[in-house]
Amino acid sequence: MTEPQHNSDEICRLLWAMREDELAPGDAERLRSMLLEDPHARELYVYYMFLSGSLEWDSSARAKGRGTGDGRRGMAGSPAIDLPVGAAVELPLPSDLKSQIPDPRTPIPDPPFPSLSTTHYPLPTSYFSVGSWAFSCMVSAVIVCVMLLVFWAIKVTPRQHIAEAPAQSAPSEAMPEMVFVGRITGMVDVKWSDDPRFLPPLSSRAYVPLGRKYELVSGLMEITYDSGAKVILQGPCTYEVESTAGGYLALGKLTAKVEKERSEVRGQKSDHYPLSTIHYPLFSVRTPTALITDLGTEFGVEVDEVGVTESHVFRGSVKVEVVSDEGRGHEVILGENESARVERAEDRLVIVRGAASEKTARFIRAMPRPKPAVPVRIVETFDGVELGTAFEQMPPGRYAIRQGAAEHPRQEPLTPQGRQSRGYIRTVAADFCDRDFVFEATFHVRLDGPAHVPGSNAPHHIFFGLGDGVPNANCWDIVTCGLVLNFCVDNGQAWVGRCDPESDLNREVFGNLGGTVTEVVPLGGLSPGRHRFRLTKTGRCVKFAVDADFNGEFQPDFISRPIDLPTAVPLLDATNSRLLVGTGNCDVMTVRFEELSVTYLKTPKEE
Amino acid sequence: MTDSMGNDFVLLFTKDARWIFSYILMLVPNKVDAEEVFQETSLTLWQKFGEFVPDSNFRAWAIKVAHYKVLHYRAKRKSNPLLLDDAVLEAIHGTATAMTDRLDDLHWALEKCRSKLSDDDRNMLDRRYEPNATTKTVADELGRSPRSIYRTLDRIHQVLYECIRREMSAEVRR
Repeated sequence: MTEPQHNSDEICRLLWAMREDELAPGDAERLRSMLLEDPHARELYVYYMFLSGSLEWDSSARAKGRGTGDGRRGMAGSPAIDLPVGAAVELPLPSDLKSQIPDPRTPIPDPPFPSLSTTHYPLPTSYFSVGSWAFSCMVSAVIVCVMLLVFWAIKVTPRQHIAEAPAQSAPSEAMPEMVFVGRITGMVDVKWSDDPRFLPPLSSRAYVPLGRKYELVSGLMEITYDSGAKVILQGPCTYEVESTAGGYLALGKLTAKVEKERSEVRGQKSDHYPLSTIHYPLFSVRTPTALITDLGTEFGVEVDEVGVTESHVFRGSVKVEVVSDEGRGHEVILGENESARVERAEDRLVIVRGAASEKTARFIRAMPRPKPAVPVRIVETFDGVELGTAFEQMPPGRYAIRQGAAEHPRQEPLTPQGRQSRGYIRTVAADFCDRDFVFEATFHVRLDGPAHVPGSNAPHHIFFGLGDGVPNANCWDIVTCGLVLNFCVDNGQAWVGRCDPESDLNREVFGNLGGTVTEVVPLGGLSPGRHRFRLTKTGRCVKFAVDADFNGEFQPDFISRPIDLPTAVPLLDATNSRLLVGTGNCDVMTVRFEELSVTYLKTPKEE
Repeated sequence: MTDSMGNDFVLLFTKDARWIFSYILMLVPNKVDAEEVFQETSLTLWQKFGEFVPDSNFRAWAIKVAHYKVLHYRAKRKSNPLLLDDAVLEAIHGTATAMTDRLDDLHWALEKCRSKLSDDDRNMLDRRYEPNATTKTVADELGRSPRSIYRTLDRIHQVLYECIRREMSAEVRR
């Protein structure tokens, strides 16, 4: 077992806080660092999550058995569960992932497995919500640390199971320490191997650990080593990261470009070893039959199904050595535009040297630049029974999607102390503070009862704008953070309000909600009916416009002054800048959102 | 899908569902999200069971499907900050897959030891880990203070530890 770098109690405390959704920002960063740096912390994490999952699983199974009157434990015999139609939401995914996603339109039989979801167990936001999380943390710490001690003290012999464990990594008593040697810096049209023992990287910019294997069926993937060497893998290809300066190419093609000088360098590109002064050895690629060592250059290597290796030098020079069961043998130095082939001849491996051939054209020497995105327009017309992939509800289920509109169901009248029932439909993307766009919403509103009377009932609002789309718990009608056009249906006024987490509460002064930035529609200017709102952003500047009595073609009747967005709402960032519409207090107000559209004015900035 | 295939699926799935869920939970720490990913994984496994090669490694195949579902989940959440970023998850992922063999033994020992608990102790443990249960709710149900519940659970876990240690030692000697 690895030596712990951090206190197990602290790790357990942080893990428990994470499970309870109570992790403070500072603690989150601390946990992240511990998990990255300390194999012991990672082990603890894995054990902790396994135990959580195992205990929950058993608990759910027992509860289901009791609920159906079936006294048997376990999953067998559990009743079939009806899954909601369209439960699997389609998202624009890379092509290699799309095949994994079922078509929600395809009728499916009831699956014979139980559900852990809210179908049967309406769960709070956090399952492990406890009155005192510290207590639960201590309990979990006891469990996990106990388990850890067991494996410290006892050598475990793997059992023979009917289902064998995945063979992706060989069991070992000593937990391998995770060492990162670089990062994935590009992927184009990658399709991964179907081999169940191979799991693709978690993202297109994942860190690359020592020992990681990549199996591409097609496409391109670029790895940039901390040393500065870049390797482009061309599928079909199987490549294993063997060291900080190289790897094993079992099959396929790669191009390597090594630009850094062979001097002592800092691992500046590694976030994990910022003070490292690693002297990187010569970059090399090993194959079943050869070892190609870079001498300051750019080269390509190709390995076929029987291990024959071809090397091509585009710039500089490389050394090619024969690698066989007898060890390393004959070697040659190749210069620019030279090639070598290591092949079997009379039961020996030989190097055949020659000039670059037409085969060199098959090597990809640079990752293709992604095509610039064309302006996109997203339109939601509420034609289905659920929202499309660009929008979501907050809270979920607040609006009923039917008959071409999103409608807020009539709610119970509020108590004098009650808060308005706020809800939003917001974009899934949350980085609109960095984009230029036109956002429009068409809606129909009517009041079926008395308008707002201060002190008696709550006012009726429609919201439209840019923000987090989360009802502000401290202020009864706006988002927690954002710039929102408030339309008060009771008096026909609309104004732009600035919302932030410190917004005041208990406003009895009607009309002074949030920090008012500017009035757009004066008192009495907007009657119940069909309207279309527009929000235009170009650079830092945003403007709101209102078409009262919308009849299909937008003709603004009211336009706000230009507003400097960063100045007005400095807390907006790429994580909380959604486009949103919403409602506040629908006791006698009926609102139907009929269309939402987002038109990008120019491509978003690339990373 | 034939009845026979359905039976095969149930047999294989019930054996490995625990690992699949635990694997997802490791990469999707939020329990509610993990359950959703698990549901989607289970559905896909059911739908694509016809593509599974009989007698091959169901767990590995299922974990792979779960892995893609986790990628899908992370793609959906890319605009929201994720607690565990790509680097951390890559590190955890490597540790998790390397420990699969040990988890089998751990679970076996845990199950055996739990069955050896007294009825009262087992009921207490089950109560605490019931859906929607908290230490406070358990204390309220039993009319006891949360602190006393904690001490009881602490003792039960110590009993479990001793038992698991003995079971693992016995397994090594076999």
